[in-house]
Amino acid sequence: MKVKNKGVWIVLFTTPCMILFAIVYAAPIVTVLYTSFCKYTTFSRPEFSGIKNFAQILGDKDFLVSIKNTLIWVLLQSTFHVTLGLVMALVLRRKPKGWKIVRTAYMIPNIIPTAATGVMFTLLLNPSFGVVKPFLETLGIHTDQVPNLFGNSKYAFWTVTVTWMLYSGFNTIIFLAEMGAIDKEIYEAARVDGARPWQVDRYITLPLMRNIFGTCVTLASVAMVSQFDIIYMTTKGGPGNTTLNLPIYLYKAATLENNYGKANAVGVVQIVIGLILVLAIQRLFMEREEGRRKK
Amino acid sequence: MEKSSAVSVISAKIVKYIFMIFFSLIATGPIVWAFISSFKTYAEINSSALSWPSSFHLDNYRAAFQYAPIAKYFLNSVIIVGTSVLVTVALVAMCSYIISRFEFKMKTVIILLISASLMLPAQAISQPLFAIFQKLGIFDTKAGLIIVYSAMGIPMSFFVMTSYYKTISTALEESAYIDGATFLQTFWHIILPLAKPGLVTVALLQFINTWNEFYFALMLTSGDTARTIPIALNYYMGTFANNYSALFAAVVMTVLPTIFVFIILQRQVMESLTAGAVKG
Repeated sequence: MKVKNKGVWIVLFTTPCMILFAIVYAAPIVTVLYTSFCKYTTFSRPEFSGIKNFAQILGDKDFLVSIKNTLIWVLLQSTFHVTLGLVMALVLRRKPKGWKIVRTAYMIPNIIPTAATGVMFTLLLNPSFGVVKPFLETLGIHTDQVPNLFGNSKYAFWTVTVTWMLYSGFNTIIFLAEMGAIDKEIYEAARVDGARPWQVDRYITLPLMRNIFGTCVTLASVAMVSQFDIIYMTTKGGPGNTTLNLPIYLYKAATLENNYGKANAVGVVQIVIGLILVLAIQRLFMEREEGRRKK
Repeated sequence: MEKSSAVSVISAKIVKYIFMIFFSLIATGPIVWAFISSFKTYAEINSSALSWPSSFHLDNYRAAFQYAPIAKYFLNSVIIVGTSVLVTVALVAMCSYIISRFEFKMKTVIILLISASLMLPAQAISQPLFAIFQKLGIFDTKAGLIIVYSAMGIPMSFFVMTSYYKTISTALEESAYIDGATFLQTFWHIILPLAKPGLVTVALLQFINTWNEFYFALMLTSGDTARTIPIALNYYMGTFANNYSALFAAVVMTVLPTIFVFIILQRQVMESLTAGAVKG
């Protein structure tokens, strides 16, 4: 295209975006990288201290637990959670009666503020007025001590996990959109050849979901590496360190211990783990996607 | 043989419906339960979790309004989210257009920078942001949150918009330039109207993500001037430690507007979220 003063317009149109970008992303990232090698607290300026922060966190049992929990959640979310969304999409794909209502209902937990989800579960599972007591009574279990699911270290991890693992509506709509884009003629041909519904799904639909499955796994993993809201609203990482993950550990280092150097060292670890996961997942799912992405 | 396959078809159907009903209930159950409970008195809540309220009483809502300026938080949310949606849409509309149409030296650098930040965990950069914002004097202000939210929306919106612009044929622009139109005229009168569906997608995506945002709001505010709705819940959790009944009302008030918007704009919201996930 022949445009007058092309260079000027390029600069004028991209600069605002880049300035905002520099303030909110570039400057903080550089700072995080640098200050993770510094002694730096609320009350002092950053002072270079080598790998002290990293040595400190690697020697901290809570930090190792928070890495372990983060990775367990990544694994569960990118397998069970995403697959659940896929199964729901396969069920809804054939538009059984009421499928639209189910799709909407299942999507609702993904659309409300996650902080609200946390509050709701705190109330729902409260030992004195929540639904745990009547639930146990229906099962015929009468007990004076109703288990405190968020407050007891035996249950806390799985209770927290359930608050997000079952809610895969977001993945469902992504899969449904992708399934809707499959050429109808393929299905028609399979039907003519006498393929059964499950065979159609197994040999036609599922193989075509490979790339989008990879996308969903990537998004789910990234979400778990930065999962914060629900844990903060329910257990704050406790009891003890049972539900601690990297974001909560980082938050505590920055706000409770006022140790910014340490917090930023955790931030570096968090970024690196996120990066490795994204690259590994892309490798796993998107080898032959080169041409498609450029579209 | 025929009979057994009929049985298996029916049982498959039953399993399918149980699956659908189970997950619909699990998804909506807690919200419905909180909604019903929000009309119960404190005593009723404590006596039984599964009873109906004796009367439709609104004291909990009154208490929620009394103890925290929830109307103010709501207004804060509207101002902050509204402005950030406008800023993101405007900036991305411009930047993506250039990227989708022109070749220039810094282009790959820009794309690389933006895609690198797509997957960046929010917590990792929060302490430096906190420090920078304090230095700039925008900590605990609406302007501060607007800046973060606008920037936060850029990566995903950028990719959605760039791919949208690429679907618009350049023929119209070519002839506009031949007719002597300037760059700005072409962009404003020809491109933007054509790009409207893409811009709506980006706006909705940005709205949902920022309306629900919690972490930066928690880190970058300390008083009532800039607290948003999700962060109000955190405040309520502290304040209402012993007054659960008001907490029910508070959580219902946070959740309902979002659900309403979602149900009304369902199709567009789902399309936006899908576009954001697939293109970003």
